[in-house]
Amino acid sequence: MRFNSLLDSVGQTPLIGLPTLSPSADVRLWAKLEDRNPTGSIKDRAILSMVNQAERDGNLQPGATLLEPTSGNTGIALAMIAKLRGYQLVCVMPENTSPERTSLLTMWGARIIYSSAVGGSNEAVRVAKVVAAENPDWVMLYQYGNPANAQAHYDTTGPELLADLPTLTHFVAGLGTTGTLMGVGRYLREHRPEVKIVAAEPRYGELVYGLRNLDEGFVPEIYDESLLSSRFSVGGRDAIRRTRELMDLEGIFAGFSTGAILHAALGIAEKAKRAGDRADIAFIVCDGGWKYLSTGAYGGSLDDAESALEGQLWA
Amino acid sequence: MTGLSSDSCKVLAGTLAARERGIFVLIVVVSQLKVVNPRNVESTGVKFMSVEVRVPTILRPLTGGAKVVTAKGETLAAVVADLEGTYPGIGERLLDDSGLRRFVNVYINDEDVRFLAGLQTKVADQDSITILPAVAGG
Repeated sequence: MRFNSLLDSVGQTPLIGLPTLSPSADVRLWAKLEDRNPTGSIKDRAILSMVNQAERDGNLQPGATLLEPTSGNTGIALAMIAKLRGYQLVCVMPENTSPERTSLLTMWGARIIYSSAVGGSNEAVRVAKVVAAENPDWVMLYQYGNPANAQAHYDTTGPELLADLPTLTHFVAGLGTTGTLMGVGRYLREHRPEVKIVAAEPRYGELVYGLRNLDEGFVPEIYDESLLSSRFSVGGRDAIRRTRELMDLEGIFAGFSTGAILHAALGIAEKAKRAGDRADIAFIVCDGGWKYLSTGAYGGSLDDAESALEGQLWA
Repeated sequence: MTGLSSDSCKVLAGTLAARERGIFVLIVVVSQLKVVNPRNVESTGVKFMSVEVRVPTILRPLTGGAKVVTAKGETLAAVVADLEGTYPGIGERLLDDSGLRRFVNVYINDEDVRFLAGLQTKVADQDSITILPAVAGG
């Protein structure tokens, strides 16, 4: 496949059948390999869409400085695009993230402001808003509230899925900014209203939920609950276990957020099998495992791996 | 309710309080003609309704620091009312006039109750309920 530039190659990712993990010929699982994007994650789609939209709106002048709260993949995608388009980037990232993320961000030229581990991404969002107020000429694309985030998935991920798998019955993805689920969800509601839209939300260690009060909770501005059919919370242990199964049984090396999504997908598959229903369940492989190798959670006992991820933002 | 929890087989401590409630609970069991799961049977042969509720750090000042508490009730609303009886003040932190507060998420066996029946979601014996504040990802 030939493209005129790296950014032209974002999207059009493969949808891979999982013959071993699928419970039967009537209940099949399909993995959409978003790690095949230029910076190795699904975030390339959302960020490219957000940057293009900001340029069209005249909000980004040459040499502008971008600011973004991120736990990693968004920042990495933005760092690459900023470099190609001639912008500076400052990321606000929680300190409890794997060192690979810092290396990648730095390599692509981003500056990093670390936010406290306590409070996780909520705290990164809070700090980014303070920094934005102090630097009014910086541009915060703000993935949590930017409609172009979900629009990327409405325009690309959703149509790709339906073209590759017209018999789709369930779509399962991770819930972070909610962009993937909102965009694909809206597209499928319009074209295949019977398809179930299922969210898998990582359940982190207690540190991440260490808010000072409940009013500091955070729901992304782009989130529209009515687009989802169900939402599951998946803990680190199940996410690690499924990440390992995906590698052992299907040869796919993915990050832990994908394990959490697979856990929900397998739950749906089992339910469909028991009910005797036909199901084609597509789920998102958000990224590869490369950025998380230093956690040590790919080897050793599940107990050790679970402790290794405790307190980390692993998705 | 089928959840996704891998460790759904929770061992419940047979408490004295449960024995004291025995007679009332026995009537419920007989009237519903439920098949009694051996896990739910006390040595006296009496079934009791009990769920495990995981409480986030932020609400633990109200539970005397306890991370996991037990409560009873046939719906989530009843469980919250039961919690309020034991830990006064917790109800108001979870609910407002419209129902569950915006930044409070409640999961029964790992499934978000907003996509079940909300506060009217049925709770079965030995279900696991998790309360978490809403947080950002990405």
